[in-house]
Amino acid sequence: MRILLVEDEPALAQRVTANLARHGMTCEWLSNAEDALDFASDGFTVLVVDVGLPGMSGIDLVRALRARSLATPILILTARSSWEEKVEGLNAGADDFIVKPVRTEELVARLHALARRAFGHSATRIAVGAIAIDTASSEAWLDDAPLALTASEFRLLQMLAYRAGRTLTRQTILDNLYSLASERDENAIEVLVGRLRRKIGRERIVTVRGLGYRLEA
Amino acid sequence: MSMGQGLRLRGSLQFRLIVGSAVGVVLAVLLAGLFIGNLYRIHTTERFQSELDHHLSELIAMTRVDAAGMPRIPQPLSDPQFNARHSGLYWQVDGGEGRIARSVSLGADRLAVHSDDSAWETGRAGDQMLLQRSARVTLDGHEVVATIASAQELLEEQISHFWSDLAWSMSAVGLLLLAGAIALVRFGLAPVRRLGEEVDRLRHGEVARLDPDVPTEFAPLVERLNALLAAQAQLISRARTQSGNLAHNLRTPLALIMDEAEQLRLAGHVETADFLLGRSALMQRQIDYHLTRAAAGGTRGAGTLTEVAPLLDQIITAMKRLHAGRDIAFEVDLPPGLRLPCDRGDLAEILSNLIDNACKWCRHRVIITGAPGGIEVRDDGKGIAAANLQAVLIPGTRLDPETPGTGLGLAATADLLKFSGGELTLGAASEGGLSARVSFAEER
Repeated sequence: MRILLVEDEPALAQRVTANLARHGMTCEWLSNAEDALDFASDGFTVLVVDVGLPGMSGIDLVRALRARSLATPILILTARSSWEEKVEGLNAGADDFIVKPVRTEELVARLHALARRAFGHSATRIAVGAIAIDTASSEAWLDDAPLALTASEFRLLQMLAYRAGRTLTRQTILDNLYSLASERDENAIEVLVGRLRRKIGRERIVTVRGLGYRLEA
Repeated sequence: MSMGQGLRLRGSLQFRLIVGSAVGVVLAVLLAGLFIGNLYRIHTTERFQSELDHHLSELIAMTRVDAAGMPRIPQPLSDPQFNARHSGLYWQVDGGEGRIARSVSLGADRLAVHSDDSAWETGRAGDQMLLQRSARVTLDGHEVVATIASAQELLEEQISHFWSDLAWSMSAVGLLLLAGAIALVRFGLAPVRRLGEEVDRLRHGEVARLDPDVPTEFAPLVERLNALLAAQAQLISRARTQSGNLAHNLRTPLALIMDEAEQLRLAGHVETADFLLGRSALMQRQIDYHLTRAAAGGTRGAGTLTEVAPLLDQIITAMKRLHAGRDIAFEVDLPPGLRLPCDRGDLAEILSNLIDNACKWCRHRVIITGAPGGIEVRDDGKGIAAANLQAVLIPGTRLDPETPGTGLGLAATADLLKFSGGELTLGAASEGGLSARVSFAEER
């Protein structure tokens, strides 16, 4: 899952980014709305936008992104607990809000819920053929037998399961697994896909030549 | 009319002006009537006397005295009333020693003459009171006293007719003047009435400032009032910003402390982490609770009425987005134009809390019904056991800790309603879930 965090408080942003990484998400951080406008359509799973941004406010950013027809789910991060601001944010186009101070578990749960909703799944357990995953507990099963997956393997499987039947480009997989600030190696994707195939069955992940990979629905 | 209405009426500027005008008009009409009536009496009496003088001159001119000293009037006087018995117009010529000539109208009566020096005096003929004048003249070598008299009732009757006509006319004039005065008062006070209506619209939140298009006399008042409103709005805005900044400034370090505690937990310092997280959560709840109260106290405008339908539309649109993953049907039934006596921000907070709560716990339906002075939010969920209804109004109470939330929603709503002079009543909805009824004592 690839998150864009738009937050002007560096200390908080760094901690949120690190915490999300610990929960298997890649998180890119921008400190202002103007940069976010240029960057938001770059294949993120969810945008996390702080309302109190300097210059253009978070709510104006959400409005501007929706005006550009960006469909990515948006979670607004607000320091105010009043409903007036939350209603304004939701009506501007946000999908959910969370009031600071944010507990990582709650943020992760909200992000998963938004991602599931965006990909058309209502429950935390997603089944694709014989494979099933639980996004809340990070567990996976093949024919109801638990799968022993590493964190990277689970993240890759979750990504493919969310978009089952659709092809994911190597770039998208790379962006979702590794943040821009980290060392990225496209070959690592192939190695990871190979390891996952060995655990869930080679035929379940189809290679689309020149494009990427697809989990057979 | 009740005592209260009477007091309100006495305090009304319009009432005072109309009563003042009425008293003025009545006095003016009375004085004018008296003045005109007296003037008429004087002129009519003078004319009456002048006519009698004319008759006296004619009588003297026509009187002859024979050798025996008997006065004689060879021709009748010009006014035929002298020849009609008791007509009210009489003459008499007294030659002394019983030699008297008199008009036919006098019959057998005689005019008693007390003064013959041309002074006006009163007399009597039969039962008639007379106004008479006599003159001592010498004719044909004999001294005679010629007298002309007229019944006073002829003069009084004429004056009385005039008084009657005058009274009617003056009453009509008085009524016209009074109507004019009332119209003038209403016209003159129309800007005051408009200003009052404008202030009402301001109180009801329909306008943010008073219309400066008022008569010159009111312009300084309106200008100062608008300046006061602008200053108040600025104050409220500043207070909101400051409370927002305070929230931001408190929450960000709190977020860092909580994160640090989580890191400590990951490092194995579970007890320390739990202590810090517990205290931080307590601080967070206190910040939320007190900031909500502060915001409510600071934004509330006395007498503000808020139209419910547009606000509810916004809230429901937001709730549909917030609970998009669930199949919730919102059923709204509001009387047209329903307004509730509550600040818009506070009402948004109250309704959002109740509707969000209903969305969290409903199966499929959230029902919102309005009535003058109140609104009810119901859901078709499991509801709250009667024994727990009071507990959920205590800040921080969470009946189901697994469901996300702060446990502040219903408590904060009840608190906000207290500020706004309203009340929150929880009960069982006919649909099976919770019924949260918001009621305000009366529309201000």
